[in-house]
Amino acid sequence: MKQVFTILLLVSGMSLSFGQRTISGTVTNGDGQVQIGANVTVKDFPNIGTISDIDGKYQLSVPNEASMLVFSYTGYETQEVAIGSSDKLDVIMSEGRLLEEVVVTALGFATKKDRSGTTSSNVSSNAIKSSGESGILNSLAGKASGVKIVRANGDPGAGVNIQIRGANTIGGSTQPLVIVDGIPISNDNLNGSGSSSTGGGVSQQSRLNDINPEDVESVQILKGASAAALWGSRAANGVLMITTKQGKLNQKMKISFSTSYSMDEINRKHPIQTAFGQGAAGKYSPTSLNSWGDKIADRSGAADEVTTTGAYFLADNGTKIYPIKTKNSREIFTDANFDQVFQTGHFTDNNLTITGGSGKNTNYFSVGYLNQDGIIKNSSYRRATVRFNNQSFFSNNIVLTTKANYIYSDGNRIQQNSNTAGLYLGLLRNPADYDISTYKGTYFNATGVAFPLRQRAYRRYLGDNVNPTYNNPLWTTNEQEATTTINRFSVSTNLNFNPKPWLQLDLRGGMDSYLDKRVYFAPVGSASYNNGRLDNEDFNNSELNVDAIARVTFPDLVKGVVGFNGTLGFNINDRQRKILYAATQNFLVNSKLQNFNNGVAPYSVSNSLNHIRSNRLYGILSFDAYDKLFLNLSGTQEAASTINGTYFYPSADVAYQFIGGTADDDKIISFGKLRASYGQVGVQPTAYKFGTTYESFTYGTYDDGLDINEFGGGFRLNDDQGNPVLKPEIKTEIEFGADLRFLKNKINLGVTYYKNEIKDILLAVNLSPSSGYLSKYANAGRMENRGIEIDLGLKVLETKSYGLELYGNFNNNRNKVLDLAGADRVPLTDQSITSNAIVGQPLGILFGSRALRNDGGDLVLDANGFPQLAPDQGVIGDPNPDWRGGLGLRGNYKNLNFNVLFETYQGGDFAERTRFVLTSFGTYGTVGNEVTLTKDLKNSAGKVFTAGTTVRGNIHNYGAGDVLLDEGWYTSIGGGLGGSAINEFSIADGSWTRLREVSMGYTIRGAKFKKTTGLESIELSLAGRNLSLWTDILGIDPEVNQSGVDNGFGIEYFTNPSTRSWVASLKINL
Amino acid sequence: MKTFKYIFLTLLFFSTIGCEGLVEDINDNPNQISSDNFDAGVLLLKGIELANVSVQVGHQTRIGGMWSGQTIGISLLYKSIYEYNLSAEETDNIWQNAYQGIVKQARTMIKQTETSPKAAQYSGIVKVIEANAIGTIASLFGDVPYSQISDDAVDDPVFDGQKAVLQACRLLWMKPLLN
Repeated sequence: MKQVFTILLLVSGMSLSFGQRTISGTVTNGDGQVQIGANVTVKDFPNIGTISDIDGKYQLSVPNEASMLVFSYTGYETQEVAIGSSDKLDVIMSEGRLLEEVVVTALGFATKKDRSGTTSSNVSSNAIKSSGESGILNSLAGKASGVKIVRANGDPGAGVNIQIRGANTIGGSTQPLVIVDGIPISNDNLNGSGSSSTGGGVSQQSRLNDINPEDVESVQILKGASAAALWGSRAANGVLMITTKQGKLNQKMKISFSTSYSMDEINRKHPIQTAFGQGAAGKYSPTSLNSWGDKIADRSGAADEVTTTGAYFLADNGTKIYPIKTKNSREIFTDANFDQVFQTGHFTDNNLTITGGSGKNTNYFSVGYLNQDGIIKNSSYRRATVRFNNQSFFSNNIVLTTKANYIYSDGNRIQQNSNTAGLYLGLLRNPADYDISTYKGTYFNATGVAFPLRQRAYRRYLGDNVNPTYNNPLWTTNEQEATTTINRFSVSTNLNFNPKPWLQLDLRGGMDSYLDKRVYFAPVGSASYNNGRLDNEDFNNSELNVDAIARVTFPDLVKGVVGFNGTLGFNINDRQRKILYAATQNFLVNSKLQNFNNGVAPYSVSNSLNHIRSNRLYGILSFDAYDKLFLNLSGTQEAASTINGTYFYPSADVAYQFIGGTADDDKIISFGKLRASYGQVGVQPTAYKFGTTYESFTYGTYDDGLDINEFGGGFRLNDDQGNPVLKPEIKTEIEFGADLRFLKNKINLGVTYYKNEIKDILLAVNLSPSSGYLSKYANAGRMENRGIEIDLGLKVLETKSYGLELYGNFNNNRNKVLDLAGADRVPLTDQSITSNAIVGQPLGILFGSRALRNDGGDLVLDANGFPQLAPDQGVIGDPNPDWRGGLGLRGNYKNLNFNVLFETYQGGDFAERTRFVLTSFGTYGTVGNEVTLTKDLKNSAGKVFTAGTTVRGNIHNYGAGDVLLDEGWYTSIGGGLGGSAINEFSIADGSWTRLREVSMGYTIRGAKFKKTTGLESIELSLAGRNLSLWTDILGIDPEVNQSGVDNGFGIEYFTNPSTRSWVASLKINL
Repeated sequence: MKTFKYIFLTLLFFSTIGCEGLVEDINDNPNQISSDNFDAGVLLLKGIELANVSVQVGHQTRIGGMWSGQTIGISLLYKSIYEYNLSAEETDNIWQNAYQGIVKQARTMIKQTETSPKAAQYSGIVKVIEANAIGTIASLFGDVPYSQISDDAVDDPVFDGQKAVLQACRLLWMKPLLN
């Protein structure tokens, strides 16, 4: 035994010492720098290899029979070098051809863009970080053709509306499906019961902004139906594929720490007049609703005459406010009022990431903390994230990838929109001569009785009533609260098994769960909530997703001619949302305690469960012929709990490279590909619509509601009729396009024409009330979109140390609603101007009260030359732009890089409802003028003003000669609230052009720098967002939307404003 | 290749069976009581009465008061209406409350309480309310739908003449009294 053992040892020893030699050397690149991490392998000996180290040096034991060493590195040409007699082998690597752009398919697997027949837009992590935005969504704006990304307003953490190409549904979910690392996650933007999208409410967050942009490697937007068809009935709005960062194999630990600081300010303010004071008909009154009072400059300028005997207000800071007998003061408070409520917002964002990898593991760890204060005082947003991504290579053919992410976020939001407790409504209706400070205190009535903790606002300037009618804006920011606290955890795992070279099996599972706890509070004495308000709303949302996927690859099915890839998969997805809501609007005691022990009945309590489960079986067949023709066919069979039956979603795309991808030739066209595709995707119905239920209710009109819950409770048969035969909405789309590259890939151009039709659109179809129901959720509508997308890149200069590239995109989507099952109009929003679906018009068309016109479209004027109110409402504007585009310039010079991006939307209308309503209140800048008449003019009541008189108002000609627009006009049909004013006059041209992004960065690095500091590099950057805006809209950024993230848009009504910001960042890489 | 095709088709076949089974019954509404398995019956009565209150003394009565000089509309919406600028949206609620809030609920309640010992009393009460509400609607608007209303088979009930509707209402509330 011992002898055999010794012989074996000798033999093995011999083979170790004799048949091997050690080769070593240094790997450098064309710039003279060392190449770290280059792969060194031995040709024909697949199990032997090493990586070059930090100094570019490698050492490898190779068998004597080995003849060649192979050196490879991403982005460089692979080199085979013969092994000679010397044991030293140095290699210089040269940069290879432009690497083919890699995109991900709908399942998250990488594929080459040049082989794909569909369109998608890719945004890299550099582009995301250079934008300086705190959330991923905002950083994508303007970078992809046909993708509209708009923030609802400038509030910190505000939600973002994403629309790809055009509107794909009328009442269904409008946002694209978001897939992170192959698992769908929630991008909820929920108003809930505690907040209305247009009325009393706050701007709600988009859950996708929870993800730290630092963790994102790339974002790919799948725009067409054929690209997204695999996701079946969740894919009609397109798909956002997000890939998070991973470590690299055999990479030494890299640590980087980055910190950013941003300053934000309001980017457009409503102009407010400061010439005339509170009052009506030219006379001052301290309790008047409007600012049509006396001319401030005509006052004596002395102190106000007040009555000190009797009622008065004692503010918390000691100031006494007495009833005003005569107003003498000329003091104006407009700017001071604004500065008490608005501030320069700022955020700090700190991130630490650690990445690295051994031969069998890669790791990526990051922790980040963002703390933001908005431009409105007391509005805030904080986000803390921790992420750990790991890939474990258990053997050559088993890889387990696990990605886990925990997010904590909280914030306080400020009330907005059509809301007497909202900020802008209270601030902008203030007369110029009213000071909003000293807003809180005690009211003493004429007999000396004290009423503490009262609010003082411009309509109740002594705080003499617990109802202030409109909130003092300081009360809105300081005394009210609307907080949200989010705890979110997502984990995704992927087990990849590669048993045979041609077969790959993936078992993938993930879970995304968040808990959103919201508290809305207003103390006693708030507008809308005179007796106080406390709401608690809890959302518990979770999504579970499991996929089993098998892929086969036969690149040489017919050798040299045809290659084949096949995929077969099964998916099951389960989503649950539980909501608990409790509210009281009756406090026992005037206290700041946010607890229901201080509330009295009636309480509003509700709970709900929303559960949807779906499963799909899907398959893909991909063929490629001669490396020039690529064909993909896919089909998905889906069954979901909200649909009756199963549905099949097919797609097909074909790409033909008529000129292959060699950049060496001097031909004009260096690459050309034609593509065509067809696909079907769907929109799922809302859950629980199969049957007619009972509901509780309130009967009334305006403020006279009879609530059944105040009468002991009861039911009625629901006014929404049930529908047991619901089908999904189906969108069918065809696309034709070409991708071309010219002059050695210096110019690249992508053009796509698309046309889609959506059938069986789910609508709450309005029924004739006399039929017994008011609406029915039914598959009733049809809509179409068509348009052209162009993406262009032009490398003006390109050398090793500097480059300049011009890039741009263009899209002109045309949407038309084709059928609404007999309904004239389906409103998407409520209030006096609505955004609607009307047959023959694009979705979103604005509808409201209008001026009387004759058949020719001319205004029918009254005897005095003024427009009249038409008896019925009609279409008054179209917020859809005629075209939109972006144009940018990016460049780099050695270690300096910069990027400038302009974005424009041309041709859409915008309803400036705030301006229109404030002309009635007399506070808007446009009604602060005085005109001296050069001829006799009439006002809307027919009163004649002689030439030479100076009056407050504007002169306008509606077609029958000049007329005088004065208080009478603006306070009746020429301005103001409700359907009985000519709301058509609030529509203006909402086209805009903006400087979306300016950024500049400088990286300090190099061998010398590393020697002195021990750091790999330091990156400095400065970015500006939304710095300039060119638009005709006076008072606000036309991107804001009253209803937030919604299919209805183009209207603002006391909506919180948008911002511009400067961001400075520093990143240290070890 | 043939094996591939058979495997694929078999899986597809099983998927159509398996698919639906996994998602059955999840769409039963856990948040509201369904009319498919519960008869509200007399619980509907309070709502019918409240809807009638809203119809008889609600927004339209306020408008009538302004136009007949009892009240004045001073500001905002009511000032516009006082000046005879009436927009169509101001009459939506009374129409909905009468037809959906009163008539549909009343007819449903009569059907659901047929077998109750108090059936005659219930049907009498709601018939009087229905007559009151539709009578008011006919008086306000003239020709209004009545003969085809609250019928699942008719989506768009035809408008009957005012006289015919008022006559039908009179019969409706007189019959219970005669019983």
